Amino acid sequence: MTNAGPAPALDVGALYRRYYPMVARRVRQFVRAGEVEEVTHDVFLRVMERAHQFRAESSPVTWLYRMTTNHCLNLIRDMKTRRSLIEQFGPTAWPATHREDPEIRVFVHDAWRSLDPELANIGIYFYLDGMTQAEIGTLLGYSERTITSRINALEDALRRLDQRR
Amino acid sequence: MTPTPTPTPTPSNASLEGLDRDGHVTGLGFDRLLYGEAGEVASLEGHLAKCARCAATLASMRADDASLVIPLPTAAVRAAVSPRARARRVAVTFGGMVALAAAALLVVRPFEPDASNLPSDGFRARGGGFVDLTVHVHDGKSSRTVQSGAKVKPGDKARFELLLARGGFVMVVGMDDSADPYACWPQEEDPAAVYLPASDVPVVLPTAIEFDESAGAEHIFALWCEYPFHLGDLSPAMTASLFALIATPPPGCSLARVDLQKVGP
Repeated sequence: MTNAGPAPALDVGALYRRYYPMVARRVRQFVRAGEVEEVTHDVFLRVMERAHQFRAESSPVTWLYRMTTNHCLNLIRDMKTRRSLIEQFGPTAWPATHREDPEIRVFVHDAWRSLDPELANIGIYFYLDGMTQAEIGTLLGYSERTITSRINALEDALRRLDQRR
Repeated sequence: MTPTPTPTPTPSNASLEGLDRDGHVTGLGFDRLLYGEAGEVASLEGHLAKCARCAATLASMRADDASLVIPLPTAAVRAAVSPRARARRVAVTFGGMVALAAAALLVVRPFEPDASNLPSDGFRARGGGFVDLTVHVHDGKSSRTVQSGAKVKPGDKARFELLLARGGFVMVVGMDDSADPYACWPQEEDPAAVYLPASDVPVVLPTAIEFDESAGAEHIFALWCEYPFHLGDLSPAMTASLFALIATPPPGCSLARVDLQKVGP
């Protein structure tokens, strides 16, 4: 066996071994059971591509969480057989938080697909993960004020879509 | 695939409290608790002490993670995380043909190690690190546990038992006097090391080998690494190192070794 040479800035192999269960758990919220392993591997490929973006002082957990969410959302948006998020996730995959909210119903049925990807991403964190604006802001690297403004825009868009139904 | 914009900053955890709008722990908050970042989020610890629902969810997630067997990475992931890919200076590696040829001769029906002949610590080859190896030999009539220096005969079968102090990627490799490595476990073309979790109980591997007719030394190695690897990753230099009287594992690896002497029938 050969030596590894200069240590890479981010040891993706170590990330894989340590955080595989965590990433797979997040992936499981987006895809069917039989697809989890393949998609989780795809996430780690994406991690390698983006390894240069990781800063050593940052949290691998939040970085991987964000990257996994991005990847899965892109993946299901591009799926040929389009399903609603509720069909995709199953009714119990997400916390009960605000599940009965009409805006959430619009969001999880189709709106997420037609929204700007960034808004859809924020919608996942806000409606389905139940995160606060401050939390989303920190996760995505924006101010809380920016996130609040985006969520207002998201709510307007969802109301318009709901009225058109 | 539609790209989702990725903001430049990588998140710090400055204001990640980990609680959702209802005041329960978020999925991300649970992950941070499970993966050792709880110290940064004291609010979560405080909440868990009061919220049975979140405490139960955390316990369930912890159990799920602990029981999950991490699959070997796909070829693409492996290519990026294995030493073979990280160091492109592998001049010559042992190809899959050698491994396949050896494995084809070696795959035999496994036998059950004699339960009344369980190995004592004296029969266990200490890895000096995270892996210990025990070798069981069956001569067609009964099985026995052997130590380094034991004599075996052509046609004897060998089965292997591992004890791991730490989870890692493991392979059992054999080598005769020709110093060509062959896969004892797993037995396939250019096998990949298999991830095994740490365990207090020795694991008897599912396959066995049968010794061929050539007399001489047979060296059995259990090679444990903290990263995935293939038999083909064993470079000649590494093989020579294993073959040496005092074998030297590569960085991030440890090995246990049993040297057998194959004699005529």
